[in-house]
Amino acid sequence: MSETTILRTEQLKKSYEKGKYILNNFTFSIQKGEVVVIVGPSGCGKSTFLRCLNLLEPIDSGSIYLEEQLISAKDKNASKIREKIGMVFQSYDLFPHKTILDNLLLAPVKVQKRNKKEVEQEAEELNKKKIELDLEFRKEEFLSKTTIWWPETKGCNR
Amino acid sequence: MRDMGISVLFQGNNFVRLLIGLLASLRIAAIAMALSVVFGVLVGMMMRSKHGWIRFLCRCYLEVVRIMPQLVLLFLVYFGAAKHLGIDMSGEVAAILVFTFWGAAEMGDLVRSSLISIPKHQYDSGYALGLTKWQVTVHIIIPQTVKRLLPSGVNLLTRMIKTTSLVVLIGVVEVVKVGKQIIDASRYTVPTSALWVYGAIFLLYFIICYPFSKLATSLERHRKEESV
Repeated sequence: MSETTILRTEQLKKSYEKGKYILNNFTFSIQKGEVVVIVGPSGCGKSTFLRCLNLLEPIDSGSIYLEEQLISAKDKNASKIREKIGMVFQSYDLFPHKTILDNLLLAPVKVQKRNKKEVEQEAEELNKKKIELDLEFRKEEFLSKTTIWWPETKGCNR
Repeated sequence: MRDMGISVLFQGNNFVRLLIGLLASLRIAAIAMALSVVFGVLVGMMMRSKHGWIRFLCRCYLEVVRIMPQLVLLFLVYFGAAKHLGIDMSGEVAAILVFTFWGAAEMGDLVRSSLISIPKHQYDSGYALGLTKWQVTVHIIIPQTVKRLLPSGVNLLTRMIKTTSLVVLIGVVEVVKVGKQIIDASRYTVPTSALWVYGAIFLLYFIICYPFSKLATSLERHRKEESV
């Protein structure tokens, strides 16, 4: 393993039905700063893999390391680990009872316990920047907002 | 002189007595509803338990409540407790117990159905942000559940207010009972009093329940518009 490996899996196995592995001995690693695209037909396990990385799906066996720390152990505090692994879902998944701003403030304020005013200001600044960045993502305006405003977002499920 | 029957309502303090009776009805409904909300949330969460046997028990509870007429439940609790357990509870306490037993089951079912109407990805998104289970429940699930719950909850309250009229049969002096007393007392002086007194009771129930019913409708409409 090189020093800059940020996330890796070893012999990851995951099945929804007994014996039918959707991920079978999957070993994989990502270096810091690397952009990795996982491509495949629908139902081949792309989303499942991402969900496993984020501990949203329990795995059958194997291990997941984040910054060389085993995170797939049962006794790990999942929400602490998820603070470090962002995820954008296929259907954007805003919380419909909150405004966009409140959607964005939720994680920084509740999880990272940051000052609300400060985050609000940051969001404002990013909102100005967004205009140029948006060109890249024009089709999914909502998505781009969340991607840009959440610096910790890393996994993007499309 | 031929008396207009309506005057019976204004003899002495009859009308005030009716209102005091109505207050007793509302007190029962309000206390039972408040308790139903608390227990209903618990029952609703239990109905979504991982354990099959807990869900089964909740199912049985709900079925029992739905199948048994409230009147039978009232008799069972009021007379049953006195005869078999030797507990002498007032009719009002028995009524609150029964209505809570009923309301918690109905409320539980409402909570259950609004919980399952929240898409799974709402939970996942919350977890993915690093929120704990508790934070997801408080900040994401409950606010959305309450919105879906309000219209049917208000409807349940209206049903409960109307059903309190049954408690007259276990001796609670509420609005129907007061009405009967007034009718009995003026049976010879005002023969048509029954019509007027029950008419007044009808109006009182209507005045109380209609706004709630309207409120439920407008909450429902509001929710639908929002979710479009």
